[in-house]
Amino acid sequence: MNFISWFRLFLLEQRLNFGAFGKYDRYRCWCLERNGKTVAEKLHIAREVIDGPGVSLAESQHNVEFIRKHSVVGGKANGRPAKDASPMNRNPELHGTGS
Amino acid sequence: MKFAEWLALDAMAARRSFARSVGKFQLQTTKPVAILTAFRGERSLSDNRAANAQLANDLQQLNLGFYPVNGMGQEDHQTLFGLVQWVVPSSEESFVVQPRGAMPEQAFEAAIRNLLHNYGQFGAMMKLPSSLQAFLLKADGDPEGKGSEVGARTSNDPYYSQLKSGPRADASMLSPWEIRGELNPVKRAINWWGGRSAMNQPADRSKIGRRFSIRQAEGEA
Repeated sequence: MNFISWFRLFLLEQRLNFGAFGKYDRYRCWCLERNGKTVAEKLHIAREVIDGPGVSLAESQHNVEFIRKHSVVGGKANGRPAKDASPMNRNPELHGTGS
Repeated sequence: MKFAEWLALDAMAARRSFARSVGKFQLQTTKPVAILTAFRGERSLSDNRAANAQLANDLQQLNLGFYPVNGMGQEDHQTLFGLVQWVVPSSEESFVVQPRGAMPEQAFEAAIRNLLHNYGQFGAMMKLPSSLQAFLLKADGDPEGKGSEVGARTSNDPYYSQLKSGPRADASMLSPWEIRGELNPVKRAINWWGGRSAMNQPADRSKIGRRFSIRQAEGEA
């Protein structure tokens, strides 16, 4: 059963990787944001991304940046988003009107 | 010449001018500026263009000046532990938007955020005179800094804007696959399989306007 789930996830991940613009990075980003680590959690997210709407350029930019920061600051083993890496925290003068 | 005619001429000049488009995102800018679209990935091109026409109408009602550009982006994908890498591009017809007259930054930001909600958008690129960096204004959530440097797009910049009018892009603004077409047979097959066969041929340079991108300056990363 575990192998079947893992293999299903593998196929879905390949479908996302070879599929439409932005979906694979959205999947990776949501796995990090929601701390999805188990096969079951990742399967749920992968299905949600495949069935979900298309990815805009703005969201793609956010996803790519989020994944990059997470892998630089948090490391892939740490499933939590890297809050200290947000641009607001790095540079408080960036934009003070957002909240 | 009437004021409205002068405004139309001014907007016409801006949409052709690379320097003016870039200047809107530089540090010494005096007016807020945003790039936004009504395009959504799951809709057809005709539906997206109809939504953009509605957005243009709303922008006029809000007394915001605008001109069209193409928002472009590309994501890098890989498989077999990075042995095979390929590019998936995307584009959205967008608008560069600025207030016609004097408008407080907060009012402009609120108007853009409202439009993002109305058109179901994730976010818009924005630069305010008081902020050092351009940033991604999200419909929900904190803004995300994108950098204070703006200039001609290079092949290292995955996200950029392309002017619709004016002279065509220099070769330095293009990606390698646009200049010569994809040559690697494995990548050609992946492009074909993904419905991107056009990437296997050199791009039609007569259809590519000049491009600019916003990036992080040294020390910002």
